Amino acid sequence: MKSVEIQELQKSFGKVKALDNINLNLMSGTHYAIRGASGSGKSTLLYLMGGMDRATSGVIRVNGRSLAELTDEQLALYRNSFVGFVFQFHFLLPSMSCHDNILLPARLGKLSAQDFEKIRNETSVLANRLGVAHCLEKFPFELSGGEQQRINIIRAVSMKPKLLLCDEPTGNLDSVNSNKVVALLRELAHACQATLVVVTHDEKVAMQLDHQLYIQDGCLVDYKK
Amino acid sequence: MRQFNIVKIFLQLFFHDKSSRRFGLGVILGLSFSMAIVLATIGLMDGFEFALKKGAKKALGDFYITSKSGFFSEQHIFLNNALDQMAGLRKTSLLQVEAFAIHDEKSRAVLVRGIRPSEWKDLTDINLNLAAGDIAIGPELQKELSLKVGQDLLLALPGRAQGEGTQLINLKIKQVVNHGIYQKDLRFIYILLPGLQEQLGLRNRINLVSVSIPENDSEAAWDKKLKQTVPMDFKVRPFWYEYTTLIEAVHYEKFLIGIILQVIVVVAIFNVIAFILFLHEKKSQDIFLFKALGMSQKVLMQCWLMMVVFLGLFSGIFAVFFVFLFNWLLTHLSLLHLPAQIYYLGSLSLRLTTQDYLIVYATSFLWLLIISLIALWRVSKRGTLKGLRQGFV
Repeated sequence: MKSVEIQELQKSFGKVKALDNINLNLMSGTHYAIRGASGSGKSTLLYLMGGMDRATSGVIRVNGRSLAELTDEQLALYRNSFVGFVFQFHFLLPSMSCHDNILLPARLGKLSAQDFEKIRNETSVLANRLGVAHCLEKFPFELSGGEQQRINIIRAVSMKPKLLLCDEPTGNLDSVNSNKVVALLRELAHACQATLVVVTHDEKVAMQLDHQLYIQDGCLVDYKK
Repeated sequence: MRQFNIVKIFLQLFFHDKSSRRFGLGVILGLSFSMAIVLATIGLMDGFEFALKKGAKKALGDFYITSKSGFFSEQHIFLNNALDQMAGLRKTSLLQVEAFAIHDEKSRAVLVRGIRPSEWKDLTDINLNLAAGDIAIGPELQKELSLKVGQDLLLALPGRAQGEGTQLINLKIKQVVNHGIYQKDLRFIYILLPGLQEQLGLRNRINLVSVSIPENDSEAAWDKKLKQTVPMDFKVRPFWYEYTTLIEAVHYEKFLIGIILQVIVVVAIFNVIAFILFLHEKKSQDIFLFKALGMSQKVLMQCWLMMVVFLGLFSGIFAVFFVFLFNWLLTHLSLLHLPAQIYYLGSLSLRLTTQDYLIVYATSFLWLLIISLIALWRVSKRGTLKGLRQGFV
């Protein structure tokens, strides 16, 4: 079943064309790697799928619904409950404890108190499983880079997204830790039955995923299974 | 509850670090101080007018009637008939003459007023317990001539007939009466009307009728009615008539200073702009993260407005505190007392209505809102992706 359908997608920033005529289908529950050099447009594609920006032209359909047709409110809800983001630089708010950072999407979402409590418990269990339970009450600056990355991942999966988008999640890690993070992302995506899309420039990371897409100068130039 | 939590997170985000908190506090204090300056100035003008009118009313009632030909009979049939026709009107006769008060080789020009104490109290609320030979003086005269209650005061009154010399009489100071206006407190001396008439040889003659209208009645309506009713050879004046020019000048000053002082608010608003730019630079990445994690533009707008309300609210509260402080200083600090000879009133206190507060707060809040919404519009114009990249790269 198609999770994301992209047709003739274009994105320009002023006169610069970041993406040009992208056509792509992502199947649900499948894991994809998007590779390309810096500035090739791979992150732009990821963020457009995540509803963080609007395409200049073309269509992105998620579960059959075009993102262009969604109102600002609906798009916010889509980002909140359907998509999980793992950012390269973690983007944890320094003013909040790690648990509050993890619960930020739940707080922003329209959840009942019961659902919120459920997410709180589930994220605590997950933190325990990932070995960062002791970090929950700490502030991000008190954590190592690896611990911050795991907190970042827990936040991304806290709402059980159907589309897990990761932007260079292993960018700052050595190969051993990179492998661990990718394995973890695959496992969590599998648990959520989510489509996983990882943007990376690292071939070894890409090789661990089901499909590899290669972008060059804003165009999709290669597709490997 | 959800909205409250989001706003709480938003405010926590903005005021988490020490530099933002300090800057925010500075902005709140700056804005509140500016609002307090505007409020204090308006309050000062209103306070001046109020105190002046209150004092003038205490000295004259609501209106006073004089004859174009000077003295007239207390039993003037046309005048009395005209005034008696008007229900609710209270009146009293006065005889007012210029004289000199002499004490301890010092003298001062005064106005001796012959009154009937019970009627006078009814009109002005000034309670005078005078017997024949007693007088009441104002506190400024008491100070000027170093007088004490119970002492005698020598008055030089006009002669009984034209060409007759000045009469010197000794009268006992029975009480001190405060009008609240320097000139009145310096010049007015009260004495019983029949005694003064007798002394001056003006049997049944007076030169002023003071009238008081029912409380809450329109002063303008009574002014018109009185002018239409009293005989042609009489003049009707409102109690503040002698201060008309001054009160008008105060009104103009209030209007102009109110406008000029907006500059102070604008200066404070520059601080707000600096603060918003600071937040914009420092926190935009966090705002874009909120958006990335599911905050809609509408919720962002609500949170932003809450922050503005928060700034406005605290500035308003601090402004009230500053206004109270200014008021206390004005009334207690001798440095801030006025030269009463020039300004009629020795000291001023602020008089502010809810309307004054609302106007100043609304104007300041409007400025705040416009500037913060421009900043928000600039944030919103950038896409989430662009914002995140600019913020975090």
